[in-house]
Amino acid sequence: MAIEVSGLSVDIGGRPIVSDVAMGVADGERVGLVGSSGSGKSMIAKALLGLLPRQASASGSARLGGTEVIGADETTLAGLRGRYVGVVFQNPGSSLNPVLSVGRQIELPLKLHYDLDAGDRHERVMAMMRKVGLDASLAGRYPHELSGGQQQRVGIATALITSPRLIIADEPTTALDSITQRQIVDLLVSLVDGAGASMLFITHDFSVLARATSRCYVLDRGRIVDSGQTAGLLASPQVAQSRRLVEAARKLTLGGPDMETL
Amino acid sequence: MAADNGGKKVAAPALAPLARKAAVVLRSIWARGEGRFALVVLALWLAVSLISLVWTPQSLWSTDGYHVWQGPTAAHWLGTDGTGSDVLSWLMAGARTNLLIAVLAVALAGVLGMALTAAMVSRSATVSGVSAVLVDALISIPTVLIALILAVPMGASVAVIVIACGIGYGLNLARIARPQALLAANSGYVDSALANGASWFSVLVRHIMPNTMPTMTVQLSLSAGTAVLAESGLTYLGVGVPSGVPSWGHSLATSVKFIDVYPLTVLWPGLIVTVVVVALNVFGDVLRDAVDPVANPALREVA
Amino acid sequence: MTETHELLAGRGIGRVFGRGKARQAALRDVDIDVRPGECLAIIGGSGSGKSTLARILLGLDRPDSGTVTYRGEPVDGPRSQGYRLLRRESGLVFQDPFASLDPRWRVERSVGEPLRIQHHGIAGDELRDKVADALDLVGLDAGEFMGRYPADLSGGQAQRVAIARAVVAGPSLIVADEPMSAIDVAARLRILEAFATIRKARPETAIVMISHDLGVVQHIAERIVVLHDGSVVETGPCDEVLGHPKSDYARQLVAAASL
Repeated sequence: MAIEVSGLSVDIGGRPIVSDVAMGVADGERVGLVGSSGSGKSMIAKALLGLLPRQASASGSARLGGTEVIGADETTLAGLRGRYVGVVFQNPGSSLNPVLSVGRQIELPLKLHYDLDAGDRHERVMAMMRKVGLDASLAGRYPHELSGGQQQRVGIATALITSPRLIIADEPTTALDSITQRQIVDLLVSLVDGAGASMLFITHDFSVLARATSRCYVLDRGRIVDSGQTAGLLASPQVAQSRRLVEAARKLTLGGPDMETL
Repeated sequence: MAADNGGKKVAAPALAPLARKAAVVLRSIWARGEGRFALVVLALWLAVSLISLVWTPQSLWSTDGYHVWQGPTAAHWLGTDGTGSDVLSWLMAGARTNLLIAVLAVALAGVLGMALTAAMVSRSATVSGVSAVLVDALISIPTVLIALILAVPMGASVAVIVIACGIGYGLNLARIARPQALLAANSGYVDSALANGASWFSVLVRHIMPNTMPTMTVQLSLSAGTAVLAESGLTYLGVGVPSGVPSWGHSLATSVKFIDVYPLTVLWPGLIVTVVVVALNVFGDVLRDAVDPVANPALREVA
Repeated sequence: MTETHELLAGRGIGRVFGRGKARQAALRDVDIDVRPGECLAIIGGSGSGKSTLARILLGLDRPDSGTVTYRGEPVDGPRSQGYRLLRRESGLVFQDPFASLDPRWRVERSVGEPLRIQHHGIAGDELRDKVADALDLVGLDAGEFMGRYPADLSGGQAQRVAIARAVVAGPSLIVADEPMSAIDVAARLRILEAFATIRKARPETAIVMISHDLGVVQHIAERIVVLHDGSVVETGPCDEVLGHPKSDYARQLVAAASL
């Protein structure tokens, strides 16, 4: 499912958070949105999902698969969310319901959007758990009994169980350790590609972006300042803001330049 | 701050920020409609209490058997009561009694609440455990019951109201402030201070208690309002303010029996109590937002 | 060995959490040394026991087995000599800078806190100057930042304030527990620079950096200890561990930190 955003602005209490953003994600494409904290990248994701805070006002246009979501009513949004658009959040520890077992958690979107009997649902949940690399024995466990990586796998399974056409991943690996980060990104990419869905991947870290996306937009203080192929941007960033992010990412990976050379 | 500088240079810059902070706090309260309302009501309450000490329109003790239960007249703006005394004068004098009760009850509740909160976040498992159980057990005793028990040896008095309310609200305060205190006690800044060798007491005073202030402010302001209500109730029951001492509860209690015949006389104290309680309930919220540097950006900018 | 060369040493440290069936060893027989003035990185994933180890080394948690010594003195409860020395001579940096700064304190007060605790009576210009020096060390303009509250700082700035607090009293040891993982990649560089500046300006100060990411410690760590499932699986000079990881787990870490 494609995303087409044009002239999107978001204000909170008169303060501009996102200004005149235009961007697009084509069907089956994985696109990144990269920027440091406070750049407004999460606010764009919230605007796309119709989950902006109450004090915020949005203008402009954002279409998900042709449906306008800015100013859309709750019925339209609810029809999209969970069914056609899956979301993976930054902190799986707080985005999972602590009183729902893993199995019930993953099953919930199915219950909301599909008319299946319990047996079918169970089968699909089990198949999904296998896909994300969760042992079937974990279905009865509760989120707090899982490691951060396992929790995020549950988050991914919950987002993908309804076979959505678009995944919005908002810093899905930031709270995880480096090895788990890599596993989760690779898992997300293979599942999204396998399903032929598109993905908007939000992060502050270019080194994660390089694995997750083919194209990306660089956001700075609410504005898109750069865009292009992720590999190209990473190899030779032209715009100052991109260069800063790329240099930081390169310096903090092994085999990057020394401290003094930057 | 610059304590070792000595001389006059220090006093001025040390005082000025405090005055500027106070100005910012007042402005922040005034900027909100409900804050303005609360501030005006409370200022009036204080002013009337002070004035009543030196002047009331009529003497409290001048009774007039020929003019009882009068409506408003030029001599008696709010009429007279069953003894012919001036209702307005009694209400003005009542203001100071209620103010005294509210201030003392809040002070007692504050001290008790903070002490119990401190005990509940103590490093000693025994102290924290025992105090938590104690608070949970005692909190189930209604304030009215505490007052009735106290009235047995003490008789009807202002002290009964103050102590009963102070204990009741203090326990409640501790229960409500506990989560915030625990949060602060387990925070990184407390860990850091302890790791630098700070004592638990100094951490309690400098970090933990100040971080419960938002809750304390709201809760104590609510308590002040409840103390005004409690005074009316307890005085009506006969264990509150003794007869002859002016208070809003006293004005209510003496007139409420005749509400069918002379409804106006009940209206005035009832109205005052309602307005004051609403003002105090609102005031806590507004005050918290104004004095808390986390919630009030203007306060953070005061250098 | 006639005298201890280490600043801080842990021998055979074990720590178990939970009881009965839920009993789980967080640390198993860990040996670790921190030498004066060196920068040591303790690397491991979540659940590797690295934070538990840090707390034990600092005397903030007690091991179930093994011993910790600081300057050769045992760190064994609040009354021990090693513990008291540690309290005076160590600074701490936590993962979440906003949780580690009192939201109701200005930067100046927070950074000056260790000085006020340890040097009773220090005040006025002397205190101010030391706070300004510490802020300068982490690359924050004292005039601009001293009067601020945490709410008006970015994550990276708040973390550098926390580092300034850790360094202000001139400690012999700074322990930083994942100081960069809650911070933006771009701001991580500033933090790394702050540590590099501290290394240069205070060469006698040892730094223990705990992290899950080899990429962030490669520029400042001299030695690396790799912790996995509560055991030390590898230890050695930074270049060696990064260039020729011997254990399987260290190889995974290296792969995960490469582009």
